[in-house]
Amino acid sequence: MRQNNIIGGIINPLHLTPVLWIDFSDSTTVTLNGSTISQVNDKSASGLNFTQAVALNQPSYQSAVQNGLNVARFDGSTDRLTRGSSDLARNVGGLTIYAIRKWSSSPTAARNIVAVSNNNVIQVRALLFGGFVSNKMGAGGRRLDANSFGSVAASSNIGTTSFDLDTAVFDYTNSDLYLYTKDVLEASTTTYQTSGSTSNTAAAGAAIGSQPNGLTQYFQGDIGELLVYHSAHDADTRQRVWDYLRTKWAI
Amino acid sequence: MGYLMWYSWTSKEAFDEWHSEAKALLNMPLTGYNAETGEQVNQGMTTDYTQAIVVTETDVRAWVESNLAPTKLGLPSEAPPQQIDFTP
Repeated sequence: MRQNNIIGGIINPLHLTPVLWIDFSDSTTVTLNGSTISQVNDKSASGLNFTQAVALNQPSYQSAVQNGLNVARFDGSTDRLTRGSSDLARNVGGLTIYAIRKWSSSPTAARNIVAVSNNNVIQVRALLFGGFVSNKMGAGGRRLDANSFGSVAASSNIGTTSFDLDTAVFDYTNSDLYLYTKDVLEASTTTYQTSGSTSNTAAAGAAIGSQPNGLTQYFQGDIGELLVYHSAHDADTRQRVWDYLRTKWAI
Repeated sequence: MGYLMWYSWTSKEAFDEWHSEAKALLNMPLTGYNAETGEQVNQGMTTDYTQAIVVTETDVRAWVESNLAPTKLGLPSEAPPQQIDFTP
C-alpha cells in the first residue's frame, strides 16, 4: 500500500486515525477479475476489506478518470462491494464520513454510496446516499438499533457532470447531523435521533454502492475515495481532511 | 454478448444446475490479480457468475446475460421484490 499522501503541508489521513479508508486511486489495494473489482483493501489499521465474489456484481475499475486518478464505477443495477460483521459505528458518540463521488445519473430513489448496518443487516446505522429526496444527497441512519430511520437531505441538486466531495457528520452525543458538499453546509438538524452513543452491537454488514445486505439501493456512478472516522469532526479537522481530498482529486 | 436482464427459475435446484453450467463455460472460479502489479493474489476470488434471489421456493430470480447457457436458462422476469429498510 502506498503511503505517499502527504502533499505539501496537507495531512495523511492516517494521522487522524480513520476506522475505514478505501482509496480506489491506490491500485495496490485493488484486486481485479479482469477489469472489474473483486476486492478493495482498507488502508486504515482496521483492515475492513470489501469484496465481491459474484462477477456480475463487481464494479468496473476505471483508469485516470479524475485528476489522473483511478476510480470504481458502479452500474446502478447490481454492482456493490460488501463485507460482513465489524465494529463500524459501534458504541460511538460521533461518526464522520467523507466520500469522493460522481453520479452518472440523477437519482430519483434512494441509492447508497456507503452504508453501515446495525445489528440487523437489513437496517442501516449510518448511511451516505442520494435520491431518497429526489436528486438530493442525504445522510441518515439510526443511533440505537431499536430507533426508526432518520435522515437529512441537501438543499442543492446532485450534479452529474463533475466529481464532488460529500461529508456527513453524525454528532450522536449532541443529537446533531450535518451534511456538506465540498465545504458548503447542505443540510443539518439538531434533533437527530436522541443524544447518546450508538448501540454497542456489531454492525452485521456494510456496503459500498448498496444497502448493507447488498440487495437494493444500488449506486450509479464513480467512487474515488471513502474515509470514515469514529468521531464527529469539528471545523478545523474537517478542513484538514477536505484539503487532503480536494487537493488530491482536484475538486 | 447478450442483454443483462432478470430471469426466473422454478426452483433453486434448477437455478443451481444452470449456474453450474454457466460457471463452467466461464472457467469459474477465477483468481484475483493485483491492479498495480498484475500478479496473482490469494484474495478476491470470483467464485460465482451471478447471485440467486429466492422469492419463493418456486420463484428464484437472478440478473444474467440472456445468451449464457441458454438450454437451462429460466424465463425473463421482473426484478425481485426488495426488502425495504425505510420509505420516504
